[in-house]
Amino acid sequence: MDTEEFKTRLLPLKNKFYRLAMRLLNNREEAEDVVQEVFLKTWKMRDDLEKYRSVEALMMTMTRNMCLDKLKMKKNKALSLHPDYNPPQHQNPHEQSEQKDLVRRVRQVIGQLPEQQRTIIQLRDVEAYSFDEMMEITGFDKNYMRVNLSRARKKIRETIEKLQQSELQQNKTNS
Amino acid sequence: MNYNKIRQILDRFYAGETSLEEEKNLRVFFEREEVPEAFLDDELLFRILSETQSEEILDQQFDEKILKQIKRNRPYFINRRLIYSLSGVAAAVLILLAIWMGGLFNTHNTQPYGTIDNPQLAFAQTRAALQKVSKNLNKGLNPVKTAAADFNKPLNKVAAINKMNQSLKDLQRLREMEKARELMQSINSVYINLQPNQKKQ
Repeated sequence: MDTEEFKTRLLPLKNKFYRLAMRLLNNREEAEDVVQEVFLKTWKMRDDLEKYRSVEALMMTMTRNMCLDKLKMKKNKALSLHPDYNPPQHQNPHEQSEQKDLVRRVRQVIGQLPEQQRTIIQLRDVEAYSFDEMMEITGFDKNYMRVNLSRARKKIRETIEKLQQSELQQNKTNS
Repeated sequence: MNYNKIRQILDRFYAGETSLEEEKNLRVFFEREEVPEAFLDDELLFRILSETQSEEILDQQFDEKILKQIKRNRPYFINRRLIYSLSGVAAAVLILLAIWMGGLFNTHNTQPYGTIDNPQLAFAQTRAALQKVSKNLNKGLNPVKTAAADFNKPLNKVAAINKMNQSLKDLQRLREMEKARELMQSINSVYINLQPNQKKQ
């Protein structure tokens, strides 16, 4: 693989890797770092890439693994530095009225799903991978993926429903 | 599309049982049509997921950064290979030089210079010759020392191979050593030839 092929074949995939990294890390800078590292690592092994059936799947796997490593490191750090660490909770209820805020809240809920569910819903519902491709990337079996996909979708749907209802109620009490 | 049908597909969607094709149809449905109220929550779910896809993107700067790092890697490797091969050439030159010098030492002046019958004369001649050798040897050793010191420098900095040439010039001063060696050999032959004569006496 030469620079030109790398540029035209692999670089355009960057956003797929970036979005998966974002889903897992919830941090733009860290996600970008991971994607950069994935590209450099792939370039270093450019002579061995023919051995892989799908370079894209390989790079997706690398992205996920690097993110998981980072999360593990962060968790260890957070645990040792702040033993009572809790993720930030929902903010001021008055902001709820805005539709934009609702989207933000739903995303927050997605961000709090278990890592496997975030990976699966990202690969399937955002990037539209087939189950075979997802299996290659994650190593999960199909049944496991279907079950977790269902859980994640339902959870998001429930969140939306709940938020919409509380919004309606609030509008009623306000008027 | 029929709303009942949509509801059915959506139910299977939440159960994780839809195919890629069906999911694509759902996306298209929610993007294009004014959806009835009963589907608003589902519409929002699809919208949030598709917004994720268009919002989270890396810009052109990222590409440039990556390509720069990749291109930076390449000349670095070529340089290293060049240094490797040049060091090979340098080693070959050194070996040839060593063989050439060894050949000079071994083939020159192997013929005896004749014999001296008078032991006193032989002794005086030997002493004179040895003194000459010692003088020349000292003279020859100094440049060797400086040459050796100079030779170390380019070895430490392999990248600055040009300096090798300088020390190679210094190495030529070794020829003085060669002179000394020639003289030594003449003494050797004198000394060897002396022994049978001494036995006779």
